[in-house]
Amino acid sequence: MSVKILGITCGRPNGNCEILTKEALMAAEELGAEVELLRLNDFEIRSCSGCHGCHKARPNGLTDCIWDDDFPTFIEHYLDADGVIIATPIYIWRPAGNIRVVADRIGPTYDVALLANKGGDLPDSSYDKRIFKTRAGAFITVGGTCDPRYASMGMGPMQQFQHSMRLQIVDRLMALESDLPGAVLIHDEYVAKARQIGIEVYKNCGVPEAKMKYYGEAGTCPVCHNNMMMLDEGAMSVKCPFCLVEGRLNVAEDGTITADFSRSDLSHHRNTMDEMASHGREIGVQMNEAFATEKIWKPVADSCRKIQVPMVKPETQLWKVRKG
Amino acid sequence: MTKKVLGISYGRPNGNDEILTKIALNAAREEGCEVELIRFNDFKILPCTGCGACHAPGRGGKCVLKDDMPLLEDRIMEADGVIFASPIFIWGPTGGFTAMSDRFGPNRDRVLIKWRNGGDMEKVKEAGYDLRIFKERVAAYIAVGGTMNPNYASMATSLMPCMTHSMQFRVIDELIATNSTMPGQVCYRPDYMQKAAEIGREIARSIGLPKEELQWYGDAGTCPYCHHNLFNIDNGAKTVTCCTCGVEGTVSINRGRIHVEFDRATQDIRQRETDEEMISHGIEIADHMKLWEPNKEKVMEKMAKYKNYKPTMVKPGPRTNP
Repeated sequence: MSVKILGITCGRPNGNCEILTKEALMAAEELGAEVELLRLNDFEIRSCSGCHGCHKARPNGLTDCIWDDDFPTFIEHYLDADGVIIATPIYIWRPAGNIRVVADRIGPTYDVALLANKGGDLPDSSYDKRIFKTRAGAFITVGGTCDPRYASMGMGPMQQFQHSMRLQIVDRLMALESDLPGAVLIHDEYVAKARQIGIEVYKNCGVPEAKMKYYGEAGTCPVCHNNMMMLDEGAMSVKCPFCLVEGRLNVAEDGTITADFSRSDLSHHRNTMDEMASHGREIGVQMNEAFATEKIWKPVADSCRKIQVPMVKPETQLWKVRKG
Repeated sequence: MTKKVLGISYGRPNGNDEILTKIALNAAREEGCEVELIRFNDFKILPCTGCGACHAPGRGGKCVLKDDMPLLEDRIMEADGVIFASPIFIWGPTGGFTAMSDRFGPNRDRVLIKWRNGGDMEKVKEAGYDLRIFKERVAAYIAVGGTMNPNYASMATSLMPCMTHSMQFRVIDELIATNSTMPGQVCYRPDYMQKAAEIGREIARSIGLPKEELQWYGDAGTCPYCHHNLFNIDNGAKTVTCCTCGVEGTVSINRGRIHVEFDRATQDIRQRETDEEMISHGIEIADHMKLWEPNKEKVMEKMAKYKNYKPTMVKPGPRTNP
């Protein structure tokens, strides 16, 4: 069976993201992969409102979202893929909004640990088995700035997309100094790296998680390799805002900073099945508490809801809602 | 003139973030403000495609996408204070919030717009810009999460300044309300409700104050400018950099505890929100674009390969409710 690799680009047609994604796809195709390209801006996908509607029929498989939009087509192709390469522009210091919209829609609905807890991964379950497939993935982000301070969160928040279905990231490329469409081609090293990414993703498709390899830069966090850290004044350690692993900061005499994770327990980071399941249980406890205390908060909430505030609404509702 | 306060809620109707926004708006109204509420999900706001059309001369930063942005933006332009309230789905504000903030990018960068027109407001007007982007505004963030574990709200508000950056809103306070899974459950916590009301009063009090008198009411945090705790830490570097402000600090460890020191003399103007820094970022991007001309031919030649490469394209299928 041939390996399927999906390229997702969040920028404009023939722009820098698309160029790098195409380079990666070409490399994978040359090795024998079946490739597909998806321009996220062709798709109209609504932001999740948090209605919990998708959780309701859980024992019998997933329920459709109430929004009637292009997400079903998106997820169908995503689930079909063995490898995924996602490229997004950096507009304001971080990946573009459309990839975040999709991340929310994948969210708890496709959380592999939550679903596995309900027996979703068992052969006789009615869940789509492809949800539990191990996929190889890579992230590419493109920014116009030459100053890394303006791409301070240029890669990290891609973890929000990675998380639910536990996409296994094999490599990453943050291409800066690439503003106008095509500018990325001034930098041969970015194109070469994109090609390499295509090869690496191809090689890791269908490989069991434990045997997958990460080819990118080591970075600061030993798990996700990002350099964003939660640093609280007076704390004993810094913490990765994505993986939640903690490390100690060492400052050498000349002021050089290193983050040391050698004494940290890396086996319980946020993206492990255990921790994901434990977060699910924690939310469950919280919900039980909500029901137990409902008598207290519900009347208060109802009276707050009655506060009359002038509302602004568009004259016609442009978005569609699924009927029934 | 009446002070106008707008609340934008990104969660579901009558949900927790709407409740907290209403409480805040009500408190602002009691202080004499005129208030208004927007449910973000009533609006169709498409993500920025990066097409650059809003930069075209005479366009005044207007977007080409056909959606509800003109109305939403008009309400923000009218407001003197805005309260942004977002649920926390994945550790930070929602995709809708993020997508909307991309639409307030360089096209609304009021410092660059003024600077490019030589500081002449008549020219800015002729260029088609809405002059209300130059009005001083205050803002506050509210984030609501279901978790009991603050780690699952690790970027609840630190990812929010993307929204308020280009028009230089002055953010005066924030509230991260956790433990609120079910709609209305936030009312189990009088402390959150009180804080929301306080935010409303603070917004009312802050509107119209000169910049120097504006005050940050929230927790001090680590960064003295944005009060968030998200930093870029690279092994081997000598400073840590605030992800939201771009300021750099030096680190010392005292009895195992981390202390970050910021040299105000050098960092005050490096902070991302200052006019100086916003202009210098604009110059940096423009300078870099100059590289384009000498490379244009080479790039166009290389580009042909990608334009001619036509992999199978995934296109959206028919909707059930077209």
